[in-house]
Amino acid sequence: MKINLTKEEEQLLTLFEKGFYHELLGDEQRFILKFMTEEAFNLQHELRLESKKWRSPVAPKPLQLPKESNQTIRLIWISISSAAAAAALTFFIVKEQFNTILSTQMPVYLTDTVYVPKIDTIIKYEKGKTVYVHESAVNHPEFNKHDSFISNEELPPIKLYDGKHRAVSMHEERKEWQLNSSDVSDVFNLQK
Amino acid sequence: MFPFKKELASLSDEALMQLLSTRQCNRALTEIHARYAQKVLGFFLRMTNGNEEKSQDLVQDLFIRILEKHHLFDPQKRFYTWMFTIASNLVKSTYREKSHVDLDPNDHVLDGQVHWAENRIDKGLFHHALTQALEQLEEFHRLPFILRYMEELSVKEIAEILTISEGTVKSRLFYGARKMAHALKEFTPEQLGKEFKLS
Repeated sequence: MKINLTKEEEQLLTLFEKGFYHELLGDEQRFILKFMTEEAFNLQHELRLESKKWRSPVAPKPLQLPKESNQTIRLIWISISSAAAAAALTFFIVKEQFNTILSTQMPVYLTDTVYVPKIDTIIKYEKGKTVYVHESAVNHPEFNKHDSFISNEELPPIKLYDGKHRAVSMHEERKEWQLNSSDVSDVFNLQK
Repeated sequence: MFPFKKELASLSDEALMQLLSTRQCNRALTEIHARYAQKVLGFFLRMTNGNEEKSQDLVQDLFIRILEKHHLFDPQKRFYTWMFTIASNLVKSTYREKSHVDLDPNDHVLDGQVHWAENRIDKGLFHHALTQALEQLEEFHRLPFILRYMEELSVKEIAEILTISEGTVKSRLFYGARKMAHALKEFTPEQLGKEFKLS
């Protein structure tokens, strides 16, 4: 078998594909008759023509797609995990920003400072004096007897009791009570 | 946005090939299969002497290879040609396998007892003889013949598919058809003796 055709063979091949003998031009028919009969030429054309009409008598089976490989599943899993992590991160960031906005929008209530007059308690200390308390209950067997109470203070007589302004009342009481010079100096120094 | 099934059907072969690299690959491949499975099944049946089981397997193999090798497809070229390049390679591999079933052309020698007297008027008979004549051809003659006259590819495309020159394709077409004509000589009994005085 020759690898390449001669010019005549190539021309014949073209004519085989072109049509039946009677469909060709006069020059073409004369060219054909140099090499073969009309019947032989028609057979050549017919076998080509009929080959085109051939159709597969059976239907193809449905396509069976390959199953996804482990690599693909792993890639899908990584993708899903990454997406979930990204979503969680985004959620917390947004939440944080939302809280910040909320906190800055919260109203601020300013409270006025109220100044109230302060009065110091004035206590005068005097020379100690022993006080003995004698009561019958003290001798009871179940009574825990403590040491005698010793007070060094001489309390002024109470004339007025004012819980809120106790110091004032005491001050007022002391006005009537005779203070010596040291007492007076102490009182006014404290008030300053 | 990925196209729906109806939109897939309207896409060109080349556009479908591009979809094979996306998540839509299975749907795109199914669409390509719907378009060409019948065609390539016929091709494989011709190339395997009508072995249906083998041909069906080859069709599956072909589409799996299309999916696996889609990145090698050049969108500037015709998909149909590329598909038949793969199909031809599959057939050649099959011919190389010793275990392939029933590809011996001697099993299908033209039966001389067929009633040729009815001649070409009986198209069915002619088709039967044609099929057998084709099966007698060597693979290197049969493949170009089928691609040219059954799949209607150009000589240039066949040359590209088989990686041979266009001259070689023409030569194989010419001599392959001549062999077939000899096998069909009963259809022109008194004339064929004068045929092919060229070589």
